[in-house]
Amino acid sequence: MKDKRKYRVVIIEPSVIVQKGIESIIISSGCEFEIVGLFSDFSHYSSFSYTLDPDIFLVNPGIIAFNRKDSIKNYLPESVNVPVAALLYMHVNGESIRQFNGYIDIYDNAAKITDKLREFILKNNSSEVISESFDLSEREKEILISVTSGNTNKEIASNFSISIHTVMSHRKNIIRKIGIKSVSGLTVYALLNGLIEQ
Amino acid sequence: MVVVSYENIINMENKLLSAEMKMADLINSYPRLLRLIPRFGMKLGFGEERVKDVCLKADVSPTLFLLICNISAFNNSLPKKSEIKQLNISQLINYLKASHSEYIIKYIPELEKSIVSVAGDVNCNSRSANVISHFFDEYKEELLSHLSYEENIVFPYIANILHKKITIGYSIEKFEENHSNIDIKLSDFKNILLKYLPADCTSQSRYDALENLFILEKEVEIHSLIENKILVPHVSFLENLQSK
Repeated sequence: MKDKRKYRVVIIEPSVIVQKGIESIIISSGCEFEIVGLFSDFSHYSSFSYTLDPDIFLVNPGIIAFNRKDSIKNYLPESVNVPVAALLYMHVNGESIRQFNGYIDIYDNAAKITDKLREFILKNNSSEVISESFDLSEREKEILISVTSGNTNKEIASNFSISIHTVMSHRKNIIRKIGIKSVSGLTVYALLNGLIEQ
Repeated sequence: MVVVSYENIINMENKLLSAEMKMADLINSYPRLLRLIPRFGMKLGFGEERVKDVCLKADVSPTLFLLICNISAFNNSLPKKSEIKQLNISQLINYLKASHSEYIIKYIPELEKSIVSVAGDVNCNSRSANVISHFFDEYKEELLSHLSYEENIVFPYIANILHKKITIGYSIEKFEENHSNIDIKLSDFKNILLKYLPADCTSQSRYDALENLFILEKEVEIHSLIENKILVPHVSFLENLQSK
């Protein structure tokens, strides 16, 4: 974890007025954040990309929203796994917004802005730790098998001597990894992967 | 996630689509809206007619038509409360019914055809074939029973309200609980075909099935949005009027 150092923020925003405004809000909010780059678009950013090492991007979605097929990920080097927050003060369609890890509204006050930035950074860090592997762990496979034989969370918890909370978190991870939610979908997964017999 | 404070800004988008536009321009700009035309009982061959002319001819409220266009073209553009109150509910129900029969007559059979062909492929082992056919059958049954629930319970209930009759023991609140399963299974099905059915079971039909599922997923998503964000609020509004 990146302890005891400031979170590094890169702002990509075409309006100088807005750039300066958000910069001064973030800086004046204390010592938690520093602005390591202010750019009017991604092409200006990319020439510095290897030296800045940001913890979060704050991006005006207007610079990508003009083309619906465009994805924010296309603008970032593949290796970059840094949250990207939208800075909203004009209309952006919903599909474009969903690509971001969250958004900051131009009407948010300073406290809310820094709270949100922190939240996006921390959320991203924690998911990074969990998603080390896309494959199901042995324990997750056992839980999955148990789910497909119709056991409730409570039954699974007592069979494996773990808390219900742990069962739920295993189930969440299973869903996140394989993208299947329903019990019958999970059964199909288990059958196709030879985890259970028909 | 877009929340309430953004509502005004989203509504700006409504102004993009206007009853004064040429209908042909509307469809050219948002091809997804083509499917709405037959569901509203409109016919192609608009020539230079404006949206409102085509609506008038088909006896459809231009407001309702634009509302559905807005939701279908930009998922997020939800109507204001005042718009919901003034809605032409029987026309909306006709639209929903027409979408239902399109699912039953077109999408489900097409999907079924592709799945039967995936499962019947000689390279696909019998276990995978069974599993996938079984999952489809279950999904189909659920989807059909959901549609028939709406046709046989929900819509008649609303018709009763419109005729100032009271149905005991039912209220529109119960409706929303019923929805989410359909979406979840659809997405599961998509992932199974995309990721987990073995590579040997790959024929053109598997691609067809997936394309069909992507379209159906979008359709069902918008359909649920219309029902949950327009139909249900309007009916609760009517329920409140009635109970006064």
